[in-house]
Amino acid sequence: MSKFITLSNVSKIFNPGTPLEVDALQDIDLVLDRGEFVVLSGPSGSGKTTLLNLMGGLDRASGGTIRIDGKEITALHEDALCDERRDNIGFIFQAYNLIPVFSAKENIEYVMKLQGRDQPSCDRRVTEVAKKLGIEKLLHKLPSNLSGGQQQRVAVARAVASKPKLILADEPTANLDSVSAGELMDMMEKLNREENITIIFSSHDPMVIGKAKRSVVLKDGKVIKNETVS
Amino acid sequence: MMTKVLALLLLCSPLLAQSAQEIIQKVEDNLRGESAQMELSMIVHTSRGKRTMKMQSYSVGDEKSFIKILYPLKDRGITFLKIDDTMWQYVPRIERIIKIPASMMLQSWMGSDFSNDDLVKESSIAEDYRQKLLASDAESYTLELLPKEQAAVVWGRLQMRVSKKYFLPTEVKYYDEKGTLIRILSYKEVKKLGDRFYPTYWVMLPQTEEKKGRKTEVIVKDATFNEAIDPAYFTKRALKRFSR
Amino acid sequence: MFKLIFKSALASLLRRKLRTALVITMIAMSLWGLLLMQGIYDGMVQQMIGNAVRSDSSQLSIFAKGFRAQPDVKLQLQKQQEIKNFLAHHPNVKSHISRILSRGLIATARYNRNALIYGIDPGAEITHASLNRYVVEGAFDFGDKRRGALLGYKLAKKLKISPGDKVVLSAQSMDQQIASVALRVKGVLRTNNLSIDESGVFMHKQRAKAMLGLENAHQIAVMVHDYSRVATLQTQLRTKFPGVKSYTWEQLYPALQQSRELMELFNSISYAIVFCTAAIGIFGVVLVSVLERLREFGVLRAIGTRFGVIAAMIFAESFLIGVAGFAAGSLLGGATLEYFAAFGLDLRSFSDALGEFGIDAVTYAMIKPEYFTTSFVAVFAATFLSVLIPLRILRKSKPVEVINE
Repeated sequence: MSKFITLSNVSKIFNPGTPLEVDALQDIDLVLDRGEFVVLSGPSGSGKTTLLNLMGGLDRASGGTIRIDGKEITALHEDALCDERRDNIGFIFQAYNLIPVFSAKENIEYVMKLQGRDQPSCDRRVTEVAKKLGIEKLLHKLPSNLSGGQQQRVAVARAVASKPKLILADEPTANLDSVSAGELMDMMEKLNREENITIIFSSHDPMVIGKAKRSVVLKDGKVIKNETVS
Repeated sequence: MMTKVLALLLLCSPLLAQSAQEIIQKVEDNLRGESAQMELSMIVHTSRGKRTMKMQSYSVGDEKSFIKILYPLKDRGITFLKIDDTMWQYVPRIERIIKIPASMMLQSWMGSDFSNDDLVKESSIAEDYRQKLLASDAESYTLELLPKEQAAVVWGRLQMRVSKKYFLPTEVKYYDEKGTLIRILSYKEVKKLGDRFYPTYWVMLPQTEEKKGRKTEVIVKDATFNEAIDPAYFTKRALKRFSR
Repeated sequence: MFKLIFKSALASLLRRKLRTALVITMIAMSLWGLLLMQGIYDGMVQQMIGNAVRSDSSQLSIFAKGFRAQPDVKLQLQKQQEIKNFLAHHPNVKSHISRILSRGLIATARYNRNALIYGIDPGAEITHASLNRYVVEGAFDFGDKRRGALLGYKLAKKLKISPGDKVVLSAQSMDQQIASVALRVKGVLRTNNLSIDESGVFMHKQRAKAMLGLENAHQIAVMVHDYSRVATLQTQLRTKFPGVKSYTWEQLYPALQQSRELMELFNSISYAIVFCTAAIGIFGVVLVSVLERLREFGVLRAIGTRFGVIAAMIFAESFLIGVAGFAAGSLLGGATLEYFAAFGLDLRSFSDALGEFGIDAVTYAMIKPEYFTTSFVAVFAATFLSVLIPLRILRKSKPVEVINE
């Protein structure tokens, strides 16, 4: 497996130069391979979300470089970064964040539509992904008519549908009951295996942490542990 | 027998009652003569009180007349000249001769109940009206005067009473077209003036709501008829010349 | 992409039906009001002008030089027949009539009033500018013997006369005498041209000529086919007939022209007020709509939507609302204007007050295509501008900040 994600000397300072200055991340060095199933864990405020945001290009590092699949995303301008997110990165949020005016299907195919794919190919992929996640019967429903677990599965489907290289999931199971959480993790594992998508998620749920293949532990903005788990 | 009566009647008819036209003609002749010179006073009664004016008038037939105001002092010297249908006025205070325009013709003459037009037009009874004899009693004739189709007079009808004794008018009633009595002009106190009998007291009494309480009296102090009058009086120059 | 943007815009609008309906209604109502105001005011002014033009000056009036300054009965039009011939053969002249004009006095047994005397040819007037349409009592006719008169309604009221009554008209004739004539009132006119209604007396032209001792008329009134080219006609008249002067209705009625300009100003102000109110309303709704979706937009940006695309979505929403509002407002406004154009707005209960201003009691609205094009621009300006500030706020927001609870 090739080096997929490389973080070198990455730091993030919030509100620099003001009394509210916070060192969220300091000196992060991290190398990840393609197809990994990684969990970021650590106490609240340890910088998990910040790290994910930086990797996803949602925020800019204060120092250091981040490379994804060879591309230095820290050097990209806003629109290019946006395109990078569109084409190569999928997000799963704690609060699902589905577009309320779109049906499940429309939500799932959204990024593909942004990429300019025609309707038939979108339809095919949506059906494929829906099957994997067991939500074929829910495709025409609006998010407001779905349960938490169902919504999260749609969110996963959305993240995965455009075949990104990387998926970043911030506490994906935090709002789910244990059954749904377990089901979700199983599905994500399956996707990781079948589609070879690198998945990085943050969590402090031991069940979730237990499913990961690599565990990166953060504390006070620093990586204190980075080990593979078989 | 019948035919005889008829024939008699036929023969007598020309001699019977005077025709209306003849009556009017006589009246006009009596009132005007070939020429006349008069001294008059006019008293105008309004709601605010009464006003007296004294004037001298010279006239030839019904076409020309000249009037000069003698009293009150503030109006003294104002002169009027009428030739046919046109009238001029001279006001010494402002030293101006004004031709009375159409709009002023119907204004009252010197604030009285006679209009400028009355002074100008009284001559046209014969021309403008069809005369009809309505009634005849011991003392007077009653004539009805209806304006001719084309006549430019506002009245619908005039009713005139003429004294048989003097062939002078005693009363003229003016009606509008709807038959409403608008004003009454009475001629009274016939006296011998100069070569004829003449009504020396005239009263114009408006009958309408708007003019209630007003009346104008004219007293003829003195009059001379059919004596030659200097034609110079009937020129525009006369207005100023004879003003003093 | 285009499809996605519009689909998303449409979906957003349909999801919040009540709010969308509210904004569309606001736009439609304002538009309706604007169209109505425009149409009715324009109609009112048009009629005012129309009345003056039809009853009095026509589009162009020709007088002898000096007549307008000092209307003397002696100032007849010289070369009248030549002028008439010239007009008869002129391509731009639709029709022309001649009139005698004089100031005078009208009297009844009880009252007298100043009068503006018009000596007219009734048949010609009907064809020329339908003067007969103003008859409110009696008929537009001078009788076989041509001894009839038509009066302005206010004059008739003051003199307390009606058709059938006798009046005596006096005026100064050519030979400086005071000429009088008795006429019978045949009809009463209401033109809403104040001077005619208050002092106008119409008599037969031949009768007027006889009364005043005239050969020619004082005024020739002309209607043209193409008013934009009336200046050419004026120049031609000026060169060919130096003894006369021609005036367009604007020159004869500067007050009317000013009224029109005043109305236009008033109209523009009303327009601006309604527009601003609508724009502020739309802005308020759009602002709230965007602000409450900052999170949603943040998510969209996070998953790879460029800011430009989101801006396009918001513009698209605004555009769709604008189109719907414009369509609804135009339909409503257009239908109402059509109704008032056909049946007129009946303000007869206010007719006395309106009559003071020379405004007809029944106003017929106008409909011009400009109303719709101007309002189209206005609606789109409003919807476009209302989006700018919300977009600015959106731009400033960072997806990271808005996504996290």
